[in-house]
Amino acid sequence: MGNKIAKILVVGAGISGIRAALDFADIGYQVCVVEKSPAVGGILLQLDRQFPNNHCGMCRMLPMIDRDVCSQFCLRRGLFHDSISVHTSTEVVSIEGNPGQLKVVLSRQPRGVDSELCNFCGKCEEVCPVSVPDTFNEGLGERKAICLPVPHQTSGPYSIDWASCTKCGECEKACPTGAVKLDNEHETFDMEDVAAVIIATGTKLFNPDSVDLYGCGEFPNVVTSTAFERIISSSGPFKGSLVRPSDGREVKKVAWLQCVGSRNLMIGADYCSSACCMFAIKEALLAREKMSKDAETVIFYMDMRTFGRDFQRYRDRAEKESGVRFVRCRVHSIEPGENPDDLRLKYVDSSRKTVEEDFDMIVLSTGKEPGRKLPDYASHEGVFVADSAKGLKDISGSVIGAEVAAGRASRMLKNLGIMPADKDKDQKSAGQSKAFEERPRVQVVLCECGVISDAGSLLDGIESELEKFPGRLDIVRVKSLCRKEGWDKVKQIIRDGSANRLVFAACNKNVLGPKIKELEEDTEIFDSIVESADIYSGDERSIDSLIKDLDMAVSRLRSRRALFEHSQPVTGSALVIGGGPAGLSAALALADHKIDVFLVEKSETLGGNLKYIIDKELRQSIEEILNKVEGNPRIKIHKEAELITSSGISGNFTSKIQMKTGEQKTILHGVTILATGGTAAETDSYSMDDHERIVSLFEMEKLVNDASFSGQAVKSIVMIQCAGTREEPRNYCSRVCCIKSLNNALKIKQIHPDAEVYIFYRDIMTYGDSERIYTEARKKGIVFIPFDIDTKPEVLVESGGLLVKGIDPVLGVPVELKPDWLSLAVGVVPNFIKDLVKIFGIETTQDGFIKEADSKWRPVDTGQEGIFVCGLARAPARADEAMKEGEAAAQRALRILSKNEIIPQRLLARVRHSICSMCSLCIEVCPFNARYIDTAEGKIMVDIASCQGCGTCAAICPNSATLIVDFEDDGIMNVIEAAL
Amino acid sequence: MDTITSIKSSEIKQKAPLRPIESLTDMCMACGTCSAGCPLTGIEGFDPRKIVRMVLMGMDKELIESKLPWLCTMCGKCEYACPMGINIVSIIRTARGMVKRENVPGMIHKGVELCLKTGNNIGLPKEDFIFIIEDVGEELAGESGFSDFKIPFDKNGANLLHTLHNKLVNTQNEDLKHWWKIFHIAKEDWTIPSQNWEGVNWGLFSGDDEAMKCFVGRIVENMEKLEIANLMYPE
Repeated sequence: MGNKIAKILVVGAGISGIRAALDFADIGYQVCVVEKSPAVGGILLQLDRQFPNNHCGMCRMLPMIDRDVCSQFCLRRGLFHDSISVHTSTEVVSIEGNPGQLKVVLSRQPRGVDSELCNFCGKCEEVCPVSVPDTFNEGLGERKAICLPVPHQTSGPYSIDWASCTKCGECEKACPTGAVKLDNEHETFDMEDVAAVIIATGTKLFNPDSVDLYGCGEFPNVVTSTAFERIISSSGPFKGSLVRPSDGREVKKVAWLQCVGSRNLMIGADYCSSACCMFAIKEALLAREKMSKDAETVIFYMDMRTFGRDFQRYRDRAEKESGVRFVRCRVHSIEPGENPDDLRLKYVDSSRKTVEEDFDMIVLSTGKEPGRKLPDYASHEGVFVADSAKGLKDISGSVIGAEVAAGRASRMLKNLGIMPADKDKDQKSAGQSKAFEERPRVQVVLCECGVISDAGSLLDGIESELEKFPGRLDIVRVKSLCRKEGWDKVKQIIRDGSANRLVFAACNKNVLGPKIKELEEDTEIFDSIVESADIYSGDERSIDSLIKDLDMAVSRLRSRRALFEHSQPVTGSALVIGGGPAGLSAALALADHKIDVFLVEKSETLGGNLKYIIDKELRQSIEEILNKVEGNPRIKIHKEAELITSSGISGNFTSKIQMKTGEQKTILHGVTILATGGTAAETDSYSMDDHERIVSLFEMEKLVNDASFSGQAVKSIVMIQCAGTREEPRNYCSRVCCIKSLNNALKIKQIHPDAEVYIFYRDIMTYGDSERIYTEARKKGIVFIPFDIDTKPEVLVESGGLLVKGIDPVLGVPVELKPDWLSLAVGVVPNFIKDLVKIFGIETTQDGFIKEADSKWRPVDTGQEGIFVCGLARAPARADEAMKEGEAAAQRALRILSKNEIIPQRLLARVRHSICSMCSLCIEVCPFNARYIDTAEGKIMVDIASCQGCGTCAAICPNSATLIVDFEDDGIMNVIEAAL
Repeated sequence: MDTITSIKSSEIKQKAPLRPIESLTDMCMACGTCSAGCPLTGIEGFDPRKIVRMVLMGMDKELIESKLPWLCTMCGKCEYACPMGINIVSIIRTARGMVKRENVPGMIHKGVELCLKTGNNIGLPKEDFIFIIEDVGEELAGESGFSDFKIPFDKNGANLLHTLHNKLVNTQNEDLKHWWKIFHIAKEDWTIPSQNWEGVNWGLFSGDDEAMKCFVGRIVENMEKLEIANLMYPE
């Protein structure tokens, strides 16, 4: 296939699509993203803040090593990457051909506004006579038929909503640049030679209008969870105040109804939508921030599905510290309340009393829309489907799923011999431009604008002021910079002239953004030596203030200097610690990318918890990977070996392992993947150790799957969930227990159909499609008895037998059972890795799990660039999930391993060693762990792969030995001077 | 209710027809939707979720011996919203059917027995029935605009068979006239059967399937005999 740049198509530009696109771009592919809607960002566009810190964080997906090729600002405002092209309002029609050379037919709906010409002036929107409910704000408030589809995305052009446009032509007449074109004929176009396709189309949310119990459409104060996000958003219809849509009154009492559209056989929704429980808790907490102290927030639920590592503590804090009330009752319907627009809920409380309560507002926690199918082309060879296109996923689930899909696609391409451009990408380093070696010569380009009538006199004023500036300044006027004619002239001026710095005085910066990129290709001008000032948009400004803007731009350019940081070499091999499912799949994913892997396993066998896994399919899938790992010449397996030291920086680690024999071995590697796993927890709750017939659910699994089980007389078996877990000190859900207990129970019923099986539980955690196992278990007559942390069942060992005492909360009647076996869901704990944590300097949670850099957006990165984590070492997970995390970790590692060297980016910290006192304050404060001591050289160094140029080090450095390129003191002072 | 020590098999569960979907009682998640929606929850200990739970646990005896099944109005609001599609109303009716007949509250079972014997719940003989109906009919004919009104008994080939609620025959005769006025003005071709005219099926209400079937059968028989296609059933 040669060395031409292979092109990847990503369908869908939500979280998954963006993640997959960035993954490919990070390893050198050209990516094209198509998105059905007019904007990039998916559901996240509407959600300002996320669990667990209740802040936004989408930007954490942006490249952190190759930062110069991608704009480094809010991803909810748009995605701008040199290797990623985005086509909005576009859908895939068909895919044919073979992987590596796919032909994709696409259909595009015109936006009605030419993105080359639109300057975001908004005149079209002003004159548009059509007002419709604002879809971005979930129907709250109104918008025009021509509008910015996402109000905070000021980088995409205006767009026409053809469904409501009457084609009256007013906007066309009003547009000063002639950008509006009232032509909505779909156009079809082909994309040839596509190497692979990733489907990341996401999931639509359930529309509650079809249920006549909630009064949607009838009661204005009944809203969906997405609409609620818009209400509390500062970019929403109420500017962020929590008020009722009906009358704008302050909300004092609000309720969330869970499982609207989920866990409902009547609508064919035999699944849990996984994300809504945490979503509701987060919304309740955000609401409480905006409400008065005495305000009330109530969540009505069946099972509070807090199945992630930190979810249970988040829920507990919401309840105990923030006063969110949790009521276990599914509400039947919503009725009008006593006061106008109030809403009444009737429910049965935990003491079985009927309660009627009025609310100001009710939020419906809508989940996944049922019955949605993937398109036929999703099964075409060379097409990979991200998990979030198959079902609703939370953010980390979407991110991991996208990385898995991208990883599998790139493994296929590697196998086909299709490579990204070149391992040493021709990355024109903006930082090393020749321009920095020369004295700055600034060219100012004044746009004469083709639209604003008095531009001429304004420019006369500006020009006469500019002439008074000290130093040489070339000034030129160009008509209509935003048009091709204008831009061609700019290029001509640069080629003919001798300027090595460029300032534009024009309109909205976003109009120029993409065009400046073109300059890089055609001239010696890089975007790091270009500045622009907006002299036309917004309110009329005085010449004085415009001149200040220009003066600042010129000052910034004159103070820019060349980078002198050298690139960092990369060792193209990986160290994987732990040979369980997660480690194995990470190792194999890397080896399939032709990366050498050192797999270090403490025990004498690979497979980790495989020895306890009984499920046939799961066993097979792990064994298959295990066999491939063992037979792969690129993977060097070291069993009965332990890591004793590791040092270095991302791309360049040196580690030492020690074998059982005492022999030591040094390994050079570019990345480290920690897959140290976990194991069954121990507990002394429920008399665990007092009777041989009280066993853990893992032992129970072994028992019921043993051939001898059918010969046993089994009349009754009791299971108790959350034994010693989901309460301090082990206050987290182990994620695997409910599903495992249910499978055990079903197996018992299969072998002994007449046996009684009772499951005492707090919340059944069958998230996603595993809800079906719960449904099946009930169908088979397994009895479920819920309990609270205060009403735990009691286990007594009496005259050789077992007695389990509890209360059935529905009937309020005591339950006393004498089971043959008692199974306790003890949960899982991470393996003890204190030594490793110390060696790598990484953080763990209070429960001993390795902390990721960001639980939502960077779930398999650690805080240390180049060190990744997956599987039980990070958080409780099922084996299939752990394996996916392994693949995701491998994909993240490839960002580094696919390079021969890490090239310095423009914005970096730099140390002046001559005046550095080695006080190490910078090492302590660096949020990216980018600082280290080079012991051989006796210097404090900056790891250029980790440094993000944030400047914390520069601020703390007591003798200004640290500085940030482009933000050095003299430059900053000059800019401030210009601004005053 | 006694302490639960084991799950018994439930006859109610096996007998109750499955609707609206094929969901067994066992599918109940105890979510509370039915309890929250039921207009009676909390009144004299009534709670549909409790009833479902009792059946799920095989507590047929306790349920049948309680008055819970008789408190239900059978409105079906619970079943309408049940996310698992459990046959709550069928369960309750099946439980009623399993109550010893002498323990059926009020006069309902007595009415069933009388109806089986006489064709109506109050045991009114045919001649008394005809007398009462004709008497009310004559009263109506005395009102202006209805001088030509006559009660059409057992009219072959009529369009509509009119069954009657026994209460209207017994005490609230006046209410019959409202129906008849409409029929008269609308020129409806209607008739009243002189036998088996009962328009209330207490077999349905008391869970007595055999009796219920018998009463329905009699009406069908009347319709076939008189060759009538439409039925007015006031229940």
